[in-house]
Amino acid sequence: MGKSTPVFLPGKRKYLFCGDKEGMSYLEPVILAVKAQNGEFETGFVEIKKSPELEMWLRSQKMGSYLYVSVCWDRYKEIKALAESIGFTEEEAQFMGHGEKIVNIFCSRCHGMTRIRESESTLELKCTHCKLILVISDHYSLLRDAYLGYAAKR
Amino acid sequence: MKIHQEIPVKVVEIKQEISDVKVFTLAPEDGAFLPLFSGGSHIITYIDTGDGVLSRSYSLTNHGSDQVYRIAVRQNDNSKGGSVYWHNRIKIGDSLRISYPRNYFPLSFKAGHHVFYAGGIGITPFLSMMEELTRRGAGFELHYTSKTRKSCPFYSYLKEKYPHQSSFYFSREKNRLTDASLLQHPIGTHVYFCGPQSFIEYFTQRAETYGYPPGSIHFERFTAPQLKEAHPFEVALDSGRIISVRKDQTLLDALLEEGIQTPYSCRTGRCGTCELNVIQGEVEHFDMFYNKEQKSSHRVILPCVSRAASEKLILELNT
Repeated sequence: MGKSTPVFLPGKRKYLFCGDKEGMSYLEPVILAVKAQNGEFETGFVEIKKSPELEMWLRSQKMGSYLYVSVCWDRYKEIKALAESIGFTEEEAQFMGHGEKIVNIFCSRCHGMTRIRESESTLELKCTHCKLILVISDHYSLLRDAYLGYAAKR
Repeated sequence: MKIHQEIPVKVVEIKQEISDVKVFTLAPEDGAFLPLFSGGSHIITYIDTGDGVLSRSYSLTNHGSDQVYRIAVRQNDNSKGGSVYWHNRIKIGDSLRISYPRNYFPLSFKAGHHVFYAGGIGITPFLSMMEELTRRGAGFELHYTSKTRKSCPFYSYLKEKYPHQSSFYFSREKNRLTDASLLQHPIGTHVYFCGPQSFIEYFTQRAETYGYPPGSIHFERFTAPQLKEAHPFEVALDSGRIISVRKDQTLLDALLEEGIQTPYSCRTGRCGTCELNVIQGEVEHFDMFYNKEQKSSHRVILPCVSRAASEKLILELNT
């Protein structure tokens, strides 16, 4: 889960702001804070489609840089994974998502995955594969990127 | 004294690396197997001199699966006996005891790139680390400084084995190592520092200033930090017993001198073995073990290096 609002961390040699149009607006307070301290920064806009420029830009950065990412949830995991694969650690980056978020529910019986909108999530739902009624737990699996759904009835 | 498990070994080879550095190869007694170790590991050597036991920590400089242990010992100008004994008395065939390998300076498994900064004999832990990375096919670079080419241990070896990864800096040849290279390392780099205290402090501080996250900065030191000014203080134990700590001794030494059996290991403020809880008083931390929050809480102390900032500390130590 990404942070909802970015937090300015002073003391970095360079700041990197990466986001789509809406995401950049959420990063604006931090950009202003960096400007106020005459800090060095670069911005990289995220387009709807994948672009090799983003990867090249991230790969060209040096140690001491700090990355802020604010993108729609659709691109969140992909960009976070890209940044992490390049070497940005939790200590060197903040990731934020916005817009509608889709979450996966893992069926404890058939192991099928049911995708639902987070805003529409209820306590119970029907597995789209085996039709079992599931109770959505708060047990989240990083491996599956899903919340575990238990059988609601015996 | 804390009793550690020990391994009996004998000296099977001695090589004069440079004028003040000798390399000793240790093999197990009776053909026993030596434990494998990871890059950056060290051992404590115990030598019975007849007047007592000299215990000293040395990095292992060979690869962890070699079935011998190799250490490099520089004859220290301020030797308290250890390095002088190793240089002048130890000969091939001598037996001694060593600890099992320990590693307070491991390679980060998260790093995309490893960069080693060595000052003088501080090169030793990096020898096993570079060997391990080479066998793994992982990327690294070495920035190695010494006063001169002649006083640079393993110079020829490194130049031949890692010609593309090694950069040498000789301060008396007007080629001084600066912090400029810290600005050039790509994201995902972990930096490792080993050398004199001032060298470690300077480069660690510069890396932090440039915005390196703490988790990407690693360092190794084998001696306790040298304090410019130390003050005597007192500690009170649970029992009400008061122990005075002289300005020229550590709290750990004062406790041991009083016959208090408290565990310890590294004596350099790295491992945390000697941790004691503080009930009252302010601590002046000199360790590299606690984070900022733990230090500012004044609730714990590593007596091997840290002291009282107030006149008195009350410790949770039942004796």
